Formats: sequence, C-alpha cells, structure tokens
Amino acid sequence: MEEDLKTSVRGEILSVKDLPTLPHVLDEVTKLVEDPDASSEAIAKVISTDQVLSAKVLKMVNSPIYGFPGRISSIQHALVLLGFNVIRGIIISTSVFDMMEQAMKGLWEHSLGCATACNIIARRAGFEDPEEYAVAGLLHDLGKVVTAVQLPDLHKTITDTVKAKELTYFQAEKDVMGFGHDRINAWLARHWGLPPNIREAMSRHHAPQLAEFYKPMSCVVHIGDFLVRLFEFGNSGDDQTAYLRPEALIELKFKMSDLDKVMDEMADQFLEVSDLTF
Amino acid sequence: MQKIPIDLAAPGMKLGKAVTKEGGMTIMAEGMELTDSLISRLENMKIDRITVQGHPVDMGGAGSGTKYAERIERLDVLFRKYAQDKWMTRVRDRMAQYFRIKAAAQEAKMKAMEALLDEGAEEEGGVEENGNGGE
Repeated sequence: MEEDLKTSVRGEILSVKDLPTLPHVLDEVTKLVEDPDASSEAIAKVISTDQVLSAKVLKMVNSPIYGFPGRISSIQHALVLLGFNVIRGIIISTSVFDMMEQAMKGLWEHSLGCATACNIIARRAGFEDPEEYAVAGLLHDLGKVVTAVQLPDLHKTITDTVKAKELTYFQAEKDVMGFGHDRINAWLARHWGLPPNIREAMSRHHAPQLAEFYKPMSCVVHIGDFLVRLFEFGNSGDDQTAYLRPEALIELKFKMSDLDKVMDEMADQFLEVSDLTF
Repeated sequence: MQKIPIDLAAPGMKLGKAVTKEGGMTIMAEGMELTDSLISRLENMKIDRITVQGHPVDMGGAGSGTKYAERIERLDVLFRKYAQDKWMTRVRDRMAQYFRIKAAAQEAKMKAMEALLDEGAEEEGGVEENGNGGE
C-alpha cells in the first residue's frame, strides 16, 4: 500500500505535461548549440528576441556571483565570457523560480547564496571555470521548487513534517515521498539536457562521496550548501546545518583555514547579492 | 597565546607565532614586539588575524548585538542534530572560533566608527547651527 503511494507520487512529480515550461527560446537555442556551424552571435540573437528573459540573464551575469560585476553589456558578451552551460543554467533557474513568486523567496536567496559560495570555493580550490560551479550551486535545490509547483499538498505535508518530527527537509522528503530532491534533481537535469557535471553535482550534493564522475563539483556544492546554511542566508526549508562530509574537504585539499577565507569572501559578497531578484 | 583580529592589535603586544603569507613565507618572526608602524604594515599586507603572546584581548561577550555575535548563538540551534557526532562537534567549535574572531573585529570597527562620528558631531555642530540659521 505504502509502496503504491510512493510510486504514484514519483509519477506525478515526473509527469512531463505539467512540468514548468521553459522559455520557448531555450529549445531553439539548444538546437543551435548542437549545430557545429552556429556562432555565438546567432545564439545570442535568439535569446535576445525574448526581452524580459534577456534582461534577467544580464542582471544575473552582472551580479558578483559570476565575477564580472557590472561589466557584461550584451547576451553575446555573456555567452563568450561564461559559456552556454552557464547561460542555460541561469535561464532554467530564473524560469522555474519565476512561477513561485514570493512564497519561495527564501529558497531563491538560499540558491543565490550557494551559487556565490560555490564560485568562491571553486576558485580557492584552483578549478577552471568557477562559473559552472556557481550554476550548479544555483540549481542544487531546484527539485524542491518543482515539488512545490507540481504537488502543493505534498509540499505542505513535507514542511509540516519538518516541524512535527523535527527532521531536516531532506529527511522529511524521504519520510513523505520515499525519495528526496536529489532524485528529482537528477531527473530534471536529464530532462532539461544539463551537462553531466552539473547534473551529478545537483543529484549528489547531499552525498558527494558517492559521486562517480564529477566528485570535485559535487563536493564544492556540498560545502557551499553547508556554509550558506551556516550563515542562514535565505531559507533552505529548515533551520539546521547539513552534515559536512570530511571527504568533501579532503577531495578539495581544503583545511579549515581555507573555509575561513571562503567565509570572509562570502560575507563581503552576500550584501551585494541579497537584493537580486528574478 | 591568543589569536586576534588585526583591528585589535596594539603596540606593545608580542607575536606568539610568526606571521606568514598564504604561501608560507614568514613576514614577521615570533616574539617580535608590535609597533604602530608594524601594525599598519600588516594591515597593508591584508593580514587580518595574528597570534599574540598572553591573553591581552577580552573577546568573551565581545560584539553582543552584532551580526557575528548572533551567528555564534545560532550554532547551537543549527547543529542540534549532531551533538553526539564527534566530527560535527569539532566543526561547530571551529566555526564558533571563527565567528568569535569576526565578532571581535566587527565590534572594534564599530567602536572606531563611533569614535569618528562623535568627533565629527562636535565639529559639525557649528556648521549645523549655520544651516539652521539660514532656514
């Protein structure tokens, strides 16, 4: 009986017809990217046809999260500097959060904070393309948003369970649905064609030690999530820290003093990030 | 020995540990006595924490009502699930140490700013009177 319920919940969440629709231009852009002859100019042109979306993307890429504050003036410029994967991630996150309005403002802030932290951590670890890590951080809790959109009743049961049983949001999800937003993330990432590194980081941010192919990125998001919760920037759905896996620190060759430096930078940047809307 | 934010360093304090750059290069040796010019040199080199001999700074309760001080109090709530976990308890203690240092620095900065404002208010007093007279 209980198994049946879980199976049906999974079906409902994953039913494609109700899934948040992404801007039409994203489909066209994805096709263009697969065409080896397409230029970044052509891709930028397609994105620019949606003015509201372009404005949102420009606002995001010019935030301190991506390291070029106030210096990116066009979509094409953004594509060249940050790459298509980053722009696509931004389009997806703003589109999905768009539908949640104010109710999920706390989670949006949590995601922005995590993106900021991931960029800082990736740079400190000496990784290339820290912007991709930032996008993974931005998207790491998307499964929570989609649950809230697709199954509002279930979402309420989860938030009630967090309080009643004194569980973390992640544990409450498993308690109510039989699986957590990590699973939903994996499915969403595949459905929206996100690159495998971001996909794995999204689905393994609670257990980076189990990541198979992109352990460093999963570890960065894991630590970013921990630190943002520590600062209580935004709201991830509960008021506890996540367990900080020592394996994640070891993977990045981090000492505790590295976390000090990361937190110093985070505190500086949070002030500027906090008034970013979507 | 005590680790303190550079804002709280004062002439006469002696270094309990050598000050090193991130790469490990020593800038000032252990046992050196701080002077005003040495402190400003450390500030210029973006060194924000040093370890001094003895326990010259009272950081207990420092920064009450400020943001970092609140962070310390919140740690008990945030880590309540992991009270029995050795590793997470150590993580918590380490974070508390970080926040204490930051809270002390924040308080020192606040005090310095208040001192500036007090001074400014006295000087501005005359100007304000003139301004009011004009209205």
